[in-house]
Amino acid sequence: MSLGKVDLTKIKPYGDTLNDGKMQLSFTLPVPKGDEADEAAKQLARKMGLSEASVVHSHDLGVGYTFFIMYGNCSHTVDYSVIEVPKVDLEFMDKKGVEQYIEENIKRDVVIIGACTGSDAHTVGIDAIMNMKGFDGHYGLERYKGIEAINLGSQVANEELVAKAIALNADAVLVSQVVTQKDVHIPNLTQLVEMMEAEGIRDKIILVAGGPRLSHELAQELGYDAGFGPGSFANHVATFVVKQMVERKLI
Amino acid sequence: MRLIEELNQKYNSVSIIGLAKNAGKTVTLNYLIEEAYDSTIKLGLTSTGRDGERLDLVTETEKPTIFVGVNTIIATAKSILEMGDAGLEILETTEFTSPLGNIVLCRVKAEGNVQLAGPSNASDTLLVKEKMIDYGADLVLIDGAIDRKAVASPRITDACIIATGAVLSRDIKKVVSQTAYYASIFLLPGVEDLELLNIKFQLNRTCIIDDEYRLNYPEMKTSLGHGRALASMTDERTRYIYLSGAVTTSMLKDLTFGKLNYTILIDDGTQVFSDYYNYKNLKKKGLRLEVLNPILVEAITVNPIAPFGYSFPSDELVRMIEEAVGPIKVVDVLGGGV
Ligand code: B12
Repeated sequence: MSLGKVDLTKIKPYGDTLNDGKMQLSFTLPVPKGDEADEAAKQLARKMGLSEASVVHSHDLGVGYTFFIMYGNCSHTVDYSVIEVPKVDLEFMDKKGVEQYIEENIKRDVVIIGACTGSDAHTVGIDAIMNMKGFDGHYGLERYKGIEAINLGSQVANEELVAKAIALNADAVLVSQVVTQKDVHIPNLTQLVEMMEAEGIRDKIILVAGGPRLSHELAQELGYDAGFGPGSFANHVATFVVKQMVERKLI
Repeated sequence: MRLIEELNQKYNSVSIIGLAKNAGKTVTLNYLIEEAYDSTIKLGLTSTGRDGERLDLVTETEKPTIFVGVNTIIATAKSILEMGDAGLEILETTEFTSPLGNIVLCRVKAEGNVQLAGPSNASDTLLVKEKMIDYGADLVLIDGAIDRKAVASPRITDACIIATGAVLSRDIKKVVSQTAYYASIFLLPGVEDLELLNIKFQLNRTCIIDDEYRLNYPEMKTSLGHGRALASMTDERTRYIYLSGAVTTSMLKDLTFGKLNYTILIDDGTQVFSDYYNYKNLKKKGLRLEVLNPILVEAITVNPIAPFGYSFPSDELVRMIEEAVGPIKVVDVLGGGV
């Protein structure tokens, strides 16, 4: 390994010397395995800005498609020094911390409703946040003392979610959107916000969206209070919700 | 007369509502800002989403920047103040929060670019609008986020501009019919029944109104999902069903059957969440929908170019929309023709 001084205004991938740009990528092309397929992969890599692109592995996927692993040197750089990513800017409490915070500051059960909405049937994400057993060693909201968590499951219509939130006097509504093809999640997410406005409850509820293609920044633009992407756990959302309740005096 | 001058003569606040993402709201906003530039009109500007950042978060296409002149008042989130290059004097840091930090009110001291991200909910937007007027704005323009419509409610702004464009569909006829449909929802007729208007201010939650204008309140926290229950409370003496909240397709379906002897009454068109086809069918079955507070649609702006690389001839699109919506001014904000 040779470590030189990194110029943060022009970073590029590291292979075994600084700024060699080395990277590995894998993909499938819808053509049969062969020299022509390898050449197609190389041309594609070159168009992507990789020099000295080489196919280090390719195999036949059986249906006339070929899978590739390639190495190449990236010619592009990125200015790291000017990057700013808006994040939910909080010290996340753990489960115990959240429970204690509720007991001391809210002094009643916090009602949180979750759903995967619209035509989306991917429940694993919202389950990871809400279900008792949680995800990756982090218990879900159902297990939290002081939180009443109601998971409505998948393909929930926005109107049903809003009706339920009103019926149960929800403090927070959590929405999961995993399918983002043709950006179907965008109008679905904004419709929920507008329905809450029409029902007069938008400013009384903490509204959170989550999913693999949702950033905090996008969620905010859509009218949500926060957005949580990959790698989120129940305690992150719980911290955000209970702190917001106190900050916005929604106790 | 320039559109901005007309708006300024008639109103204190105007919302810009997009029928879809990339329908050209920011272009419309810029068109108005530019018209105001060499006039004496002091604008107040805010957005319920985010405007003026360079890249679109979803499509990764370039977005228009927002260039403002001296004396413009803006309401935006604290954390993005430095992202523009206009010289700003901070007038007030408000208590309104946004996910990007508290909302601050500023006066432009040296012209330049700004980013706008105001409060995301309608009730805070209303208060921010009032503050901008207090600080001397003649006309406040509020840009709605994406396809969000709540700020077009007459409760929040005096009038609205609808931004539509090629992005709605690859089929020009669909762009026109969708635009005409949304415009018709915004333009739902105001109720004219004087006796009903007399009791207008008593109407604050969903109820059934009979031929002697007696109000019968159902026991429900929200009417959402309870269309059938509401319908079962009507009888031959029912004249109106007043709905205080969201009006969805399923609600309209539940309330539209048999010999309809009542009109559905709502505050304004921002409460309607239905689609073109269902609404058209229900209208055929006799659905009558009237509002207490009509929305004034001052203009429809058209962006004939979609970000995904197709476009329609501007003249044709403008003409077709004009024919479909009636006497509303239709403007191609890219071509600049009125
Ligand atoms: C499992 C799966 C399915 C299962 C779902 C079963 C179920 N009950 O959920 C089944 C087989 C049903 C399925 C169907 C489809 N799927 Co699928 N599926 C997947 C897969 C393999 C895993 C998704 C998953 O469970 N991830 C694990 C969870 C834990 O991760 P997560 O969702 O990101 O959640 C985390 C965070 O995002 C966040 N989070 C998520 N939601 C929320 C909500 C809140 C409030 C918060 C705070 C946080 C949060 O916290 C979670 C934990 O950290 C992905 C591919 C992949 N490897 O990701 C495709 C994938 C999501 N599916 C995809 C597609 C296209 C489909 C179908 C349309 C396929 C088809 N043509 O029919 C259908 C759609 C069905 C429908 N109506 O929705 C695409 C989506 C592409 C896109 N961007 O739109 C993917 C990405 C596959 C691909 N590469 O094409 N799928």
